[in-house]
Amino acid sequence: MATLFNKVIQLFGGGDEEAMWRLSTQNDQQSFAELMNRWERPVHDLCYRMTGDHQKAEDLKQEAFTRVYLKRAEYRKGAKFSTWIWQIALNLCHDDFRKCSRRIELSLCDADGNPQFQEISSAPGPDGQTITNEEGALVRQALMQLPEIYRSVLVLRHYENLKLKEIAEVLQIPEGTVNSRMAEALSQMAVLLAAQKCVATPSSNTDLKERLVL
Amino acid sequence: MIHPKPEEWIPYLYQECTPETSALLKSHLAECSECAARLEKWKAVGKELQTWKAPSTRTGRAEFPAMWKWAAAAVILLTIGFGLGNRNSRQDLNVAVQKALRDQTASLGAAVPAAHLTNLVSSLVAAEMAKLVPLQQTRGTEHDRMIISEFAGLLQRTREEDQKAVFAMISEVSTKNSSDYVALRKDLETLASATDDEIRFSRQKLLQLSYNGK
Repeated sequence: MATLFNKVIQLFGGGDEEAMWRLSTQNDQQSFAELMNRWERPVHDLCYRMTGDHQKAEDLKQEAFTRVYLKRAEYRKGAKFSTWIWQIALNLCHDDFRKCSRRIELSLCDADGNPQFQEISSAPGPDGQTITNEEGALVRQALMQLPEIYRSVLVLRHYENLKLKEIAEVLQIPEGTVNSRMAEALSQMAVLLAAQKCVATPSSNTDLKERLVL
Repeated sequence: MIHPKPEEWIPYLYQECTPETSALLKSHLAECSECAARLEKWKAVGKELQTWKAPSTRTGRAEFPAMWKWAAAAVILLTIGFGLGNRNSRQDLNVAVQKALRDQTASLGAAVPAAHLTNLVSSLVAAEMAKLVPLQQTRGTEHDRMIISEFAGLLQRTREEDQKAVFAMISEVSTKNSSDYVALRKDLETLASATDDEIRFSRQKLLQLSYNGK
């Protein structure tokens, strides 16, 4: 009977904030399991959209939940859990970008207005070999070439469906800055996508493989 | 023509601006092909971003159990609701009847008119039954009708039990009042006869005193 009662309570046991508060104050392992169950996939997806690498996203997700557990005492009652976990995940992605020596930088176009790629990275990532077979591969390639500050606003809005105000809270920047970053991100993405389509034509496929290393 | 800044278009693009701003930007858009083209380009980027589907790490596990959990929770809640409602309505009826009886017997102190109490109980029961009739007439599933019929039967049995209890209490009150009446009458008769004796004795004394005086 008590077990049944606990299950009913669990079903109506409130949201993420309550579970996090229980974890923070009572060290409730069940609450941590609940949070992991609810947020495992969204956090993995965010990391994957930011890094473009499944294995890395999986590692970052694990690291994010480890941080949630370790920093449980720092959680303030009333704070939005979603904002908190997005911040943790994005900070981890940011740390990863800084640590990672393999980077691709793209100067959008040369003096004649043609797309121009500059290779910094030396070795392809684990997903690089299958990228061309994946749906939306061009979008992924373009997104990975976008500077991180622009990529994060696009990912939060278009893949995680956060409102502009929520993005401002997660990134801890004014809403006006979110708007200007978003405008720049969309403009750069339009150029990048056009460039990707241009170089992805069959005639230039060989050339693309030579120049693009992901 | 003064064009709105690129960042001013972002809340409009994501339908997050005020109706007034939206109307202003919309009117500008109708006249400015340059801004319209930029907005179309951004919309196209938004659509293209959606072509990159994140491969699921866990397929279909999260959605269906959640649905079944809520369905199970709804069934449990309905059952608990019916049970509590049934129990509470019985308790309310009993409490109301007993309170009415206590008030009546306490305030009157004399013989309680049995007909009055019977009418009171009948009216309370009739009120409860009247609440059930619309429930029985409403359309519902076979299960709902079965539960309502069961509830009505239970209420009927409760009503009979309550009536028996009420009649027993009425009989008890009547018997007690009769015995009280008899005892009071005896006391009054004793007092009357004692007073009569005292008067007779006093009259004799007065007569004796008058003879002695002569």
